[in-house]
This record gives sequence, C-alpha cells and structure tokens, in this order.
Amino acid sequence: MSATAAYKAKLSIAGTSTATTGEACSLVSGKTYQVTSSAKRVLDPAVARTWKDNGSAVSAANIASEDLLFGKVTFVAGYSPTGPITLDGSYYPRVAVAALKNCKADLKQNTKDTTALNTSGDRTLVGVTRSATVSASAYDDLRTDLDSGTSGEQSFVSLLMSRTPKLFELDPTGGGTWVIRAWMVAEGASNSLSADDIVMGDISWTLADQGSATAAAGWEMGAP
Amino acid sequence: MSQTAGYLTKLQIAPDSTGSAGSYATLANNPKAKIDLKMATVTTTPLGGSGDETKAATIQSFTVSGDVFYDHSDTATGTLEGAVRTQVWAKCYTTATNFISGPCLVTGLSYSEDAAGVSSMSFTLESTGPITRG
Repeated sequence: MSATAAYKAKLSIAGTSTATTGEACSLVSGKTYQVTSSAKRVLDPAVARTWKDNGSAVSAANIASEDLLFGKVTFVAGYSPTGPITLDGSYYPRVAVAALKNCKADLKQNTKDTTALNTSGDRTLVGVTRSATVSASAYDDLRTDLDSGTSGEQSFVSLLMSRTPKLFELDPTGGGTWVIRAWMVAEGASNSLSADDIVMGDISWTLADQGSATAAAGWEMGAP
Repeated sequence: MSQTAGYLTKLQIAPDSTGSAGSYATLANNPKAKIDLKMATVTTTPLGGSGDETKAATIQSFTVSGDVFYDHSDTATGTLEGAVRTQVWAKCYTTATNFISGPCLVTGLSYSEDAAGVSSMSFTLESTGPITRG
C-alpha cells in the first residue's frame, strides 16, 4: 500500500442526461441489483425509472429502495426476481473537469449527544444529518463550458447563477476504484486577478436541496 | 518517564461487530494523529467560599483526528469510509503498549487533492461509549 500522487485525482461533473432502455443489471447481493455498466450508474432523478424483471415492470410496492447515485435497486424481501433485471430510465455520463489546481471534498456527519443518567459517565452520540462541501481552485476564469453536449453555457459561473444542481464525483486516486458522489449546488465562484499571474478561479459547492425534483439526496461513496 | 519516538505509535480501527470491536487493523499511511481525551466539568464555585473556582468532573470523551496518504485499499481506511451512521472502534497507541480505545462515530472525512502533492484524507472520530485505557 502506498500513497498516490494527487495529480492523478479526478473531479467530474454530470454531463447530459441520456435515455437508456433495457439497461442490463447485475445482482449485487440479496435483493439488490445494480446497472452493469459503470458508465451508466448515475441515474437522472428527474426521469422516471422503470425496473423490469424478465421484461415486465416491477411494481412500486415491490421496490424497497433505489440508490440513484450508484444505479441500484433493492426489491422487498417478499419479492422473488425471475431475471433478467433491466432498467428503462436516464443516466448521466460524467465529464472530467479540466484545469484544476486542487480540490477538496469535506464530508461531515452531524451528531447529537445522548449521554444519559445512570450510565458509566462516558459520552454517547447518535449520528443525525450529514453534510458535504466541495471546493476547488482552477487555472480558469470559471466561464469555460464544462459540457459541450448540453446547449448553452454550462460553466461554473452559469451554473451558480442558474442555481442548477449538478452531480459531482471525486475519484481521489484517479484509479476508478472508489468514488464519492453527491448532488450539489454552487455557493461561490470567485476570480483572482493579478497582473503578474494567470487568472485563477475558486469554486465552492454544497449539498443540493433534497426536495428538488432534479437532485438525489445526500452523498455516497463506493465503487464507480 | 522515557520518551517514545512517534513512529513507534499507531492508530487502529475496527468495524463494529454487534456492539463490540471487530478485528482491529492498523491505519496505513498515517503520518500524524491527535488524541484528545476530555473530561467535561461544571463550575461549582460556592458563595461564602475562598473565592477559588472549583469544578466537578462529569462526562468523559475523546476525539481522534489525523491524516492519511489516501489508499482506499487499506483495510482501516476502508472501515472509516464505510462507517456511515454506524460506529467504528478506535485504538490509539501512544507508546508501543499504552493505548486509549473505544467506540466512535466518524464525524468527518475530508479528501484533499493538490496537483503538486499526494492524495490525502483527513478524518475526525468522536467517541460514543465506554473508554478503555490499556
């Protein structure tokens, strides 16, 4: 085990939502299935998903949960899949962000103290909400179009001004083995201008409104 | 008292196994860590006393924070990353034999990437339960 040079790290954002039909899924374990193609696992929350078992739609009552960040569906305990499991829906390809000097992803678990009477006197905590922020510095004025596949300027500045939530993915080692994903909304985009330096841009993003129809909740990490 | 070279210390992390520590693994690529053992106090300075502030000890806790050169394949690092709303167990060796341990929540993971540096992750653990001193 060794350290990894950080220049290999990769920060990506969601590209253009792309429809898919009959997308193959594989069994993870138990009643959980996952989209087989890792390139198609970030599912568009704004597009209805139809999970099919041997060609027939699985009813909502038989779906215990979905993980839209990693393309998973978990059926209820009483449902016995026949297979194959497929998905009709839309996914987001990821587009690497260029010209980043550095980036940082802060993931937090907020807690509440539950230390009680008649105990050993050791503090106890319960995890409540989670939060995440992403910040980065770029050799860029933040007006570069990040997604040529979508019409109109899709720069960090335009995304901030339009309040558009965006899927962020950080691969800390660039190896494609473990990533952190979250839907986020911009909090800041600033430029540093100096006559003897190049233009630099700093961005900061936070978890998007979980009530938004275009965002899935929270942050998750896993194999891409 | 004799001094201990820092490289002789270690931080170990175990997953939770139905309320007890699972198998501890030493956190790899960990250049530094800090263990803060705290005793909360309540001021009890009375009227009519000497005027010296007095306090009563109440609740004890510890916080562990540190950095690693990020390697997800490291068992202990993976345990920290996988502990979402579940607890882990930390065992912090301050010499080759002395340690502080207990169940913790992972309250912060921060991934830092700088093109001129090494992929790094910092972490914060907060104790949630009985503290053992060994």
